[in-house]
Amino acid sequence: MTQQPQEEAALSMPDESLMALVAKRDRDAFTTLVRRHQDGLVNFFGRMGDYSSAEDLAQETFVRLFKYRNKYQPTAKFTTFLYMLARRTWVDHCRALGRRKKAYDKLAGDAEFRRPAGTDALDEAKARASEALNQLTDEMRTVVVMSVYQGFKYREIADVLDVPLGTVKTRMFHALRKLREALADEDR
Amino acid sequence: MKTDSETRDRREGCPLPEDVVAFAVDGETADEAEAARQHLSRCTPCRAIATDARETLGMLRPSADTPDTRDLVPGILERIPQRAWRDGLHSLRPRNKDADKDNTRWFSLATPRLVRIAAALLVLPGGALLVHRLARSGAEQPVGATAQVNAVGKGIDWLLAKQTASGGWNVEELGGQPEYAPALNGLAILAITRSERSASETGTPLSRAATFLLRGQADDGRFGKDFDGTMYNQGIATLALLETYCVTRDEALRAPIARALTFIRSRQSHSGGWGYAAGRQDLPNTSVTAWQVQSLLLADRLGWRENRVPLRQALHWMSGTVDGRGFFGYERTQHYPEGPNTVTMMGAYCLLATQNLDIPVDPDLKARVVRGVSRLAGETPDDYYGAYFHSSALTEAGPDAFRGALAANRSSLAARQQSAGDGKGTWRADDRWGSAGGCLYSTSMALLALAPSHSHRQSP
Repeated sequence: MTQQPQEEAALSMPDESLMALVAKRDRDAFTTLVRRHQDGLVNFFGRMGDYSSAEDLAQETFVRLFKYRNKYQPTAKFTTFLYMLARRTWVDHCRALGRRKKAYDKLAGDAEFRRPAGTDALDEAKARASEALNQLTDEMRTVVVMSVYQGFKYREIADVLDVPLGTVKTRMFHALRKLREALADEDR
Repeated sequence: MKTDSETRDRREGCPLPEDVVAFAVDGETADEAEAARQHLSRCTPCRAIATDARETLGMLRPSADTPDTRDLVPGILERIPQRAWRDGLHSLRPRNKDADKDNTRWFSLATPRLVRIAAALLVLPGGALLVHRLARSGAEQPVGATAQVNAVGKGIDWLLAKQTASGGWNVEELGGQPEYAPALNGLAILAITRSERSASETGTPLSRAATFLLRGQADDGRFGKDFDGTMYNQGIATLALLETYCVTRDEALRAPIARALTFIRSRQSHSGGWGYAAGRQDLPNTSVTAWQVQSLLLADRLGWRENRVPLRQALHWMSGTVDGRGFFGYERTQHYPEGPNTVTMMGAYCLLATQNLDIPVDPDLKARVVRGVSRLAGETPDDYYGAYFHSSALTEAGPDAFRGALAANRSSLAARQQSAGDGKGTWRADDRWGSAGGCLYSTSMALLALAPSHSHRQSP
């Protein structure tokens, strides 16, 4: 893709500076943020349990990011704000699907979801991890996905979810215990 | 992670297991990391916890791949009006003063305050909390006792109107998660039984609702599917059936109630409380335990005396989490993952509810718990779940002594009831548990917090 000069200028800017420009309705700054974070968001929604809608949900999150650009405080980390919106988008998505269970039932019946293409050991490990994750409650899965796959620190997760740090620790502790049990069950 | 055995093996001075896992997963600041590393080097049980956590992470991480995502920019830009943009980087161009006057600036100061609040509620995570805090800061007008009674009336009317032909409430349609249907239907039943409507008015809807609940009861007495939330379903649904029995005196309810109580007893942990997972080895917590205790207390009053020993064990476990300030812990003393307020009010409500029963409770402990309640009485909860236990505990601890705090809690709740539109008579599911329970949860819980009576005071 050929970058225009202004887009190139944006590429070197930190998220927080770009967001300040987005607040002033700067399209180039916005598209730079989208391209910088779209893979992470799609990965987030996929790990949360819906690969088939992950791109749509990421798109919806960015639309909300633009709508609520003036709510962003430059003192806060941009990804915290972005994933707060993503989390809200996910909750709304689950509601729209007729609640999470229905979504997971649909996905559980989808062979492609349960067993990604290929049968080598790595694919098998991915499928097992996905199935184990889907056995967690939504709250626990969010913490695991944000920590393990998105690389958030506990404190950042607490900020995104608006819960105390201790809650994140407790959820992760119980989540890992359940994941270990689930993965051990699959081994048997 | 072999939590129970490791918890037993842990030595005094060890960090909490969740802190060990936090170190293994998240790392800490440099000093803390060094201290944790030194501790793990000499503590076998903690090292085992950390190793287990790292091994589990190792099993997950192979799937941490990068998706092959198409460029989302064109689709996103299609959804944003062209006129919303300036051309080029703003910093490189002269500013046009009129350019901001478009319809995308929803939060401009010219927007009416209510619209801005509503928009924040709709979109922003934590918006509910924001609105609640705004309300507390002065936007909300105090609601008097008469208006509170009217609010309860409208809420009960809404609940009765939403009862389906099957006798239950359509949990999904009302924004709740279907796996919690027994608990959510139970909450609706409790809101009705504790309203001041007469038995002649509520008897039939309650009987139909009870029949609906019983259709979802398994042979072993369990309500709903067996999963992490089973004991919430069980405690709340059992309590709802017990209170329905108080209203309807339907003897046909006794056998399924007995089975439900048997299931509760079967899932009690060895330490006396109840936890999320199924089994006696699970870590109990005050929240899950509080619902079982409420059921057992009322069952005891209604003559199911076989619950007396489990009840005393449960109260003993709860008492063991109380600290010197009179605060209850969530899983243990001084454990407050969501803060001490709600968990203390849950524990206090259960413990103080024994005062009209011949269940001995250490008077010094009771006095300490009342002091704990007093310390927290002025802190209005941020969620409906907390509001219910706040109101209940204050009522148990002394409605006269805490009249001001009770009135403030109830007034704040009544003012948040929706007065128009499709949701007239309801409370928005805008708190931290709203995504699990929807407006059936929020409305029922708000009604319970406004209710004048409590289950264990029902006449047997």
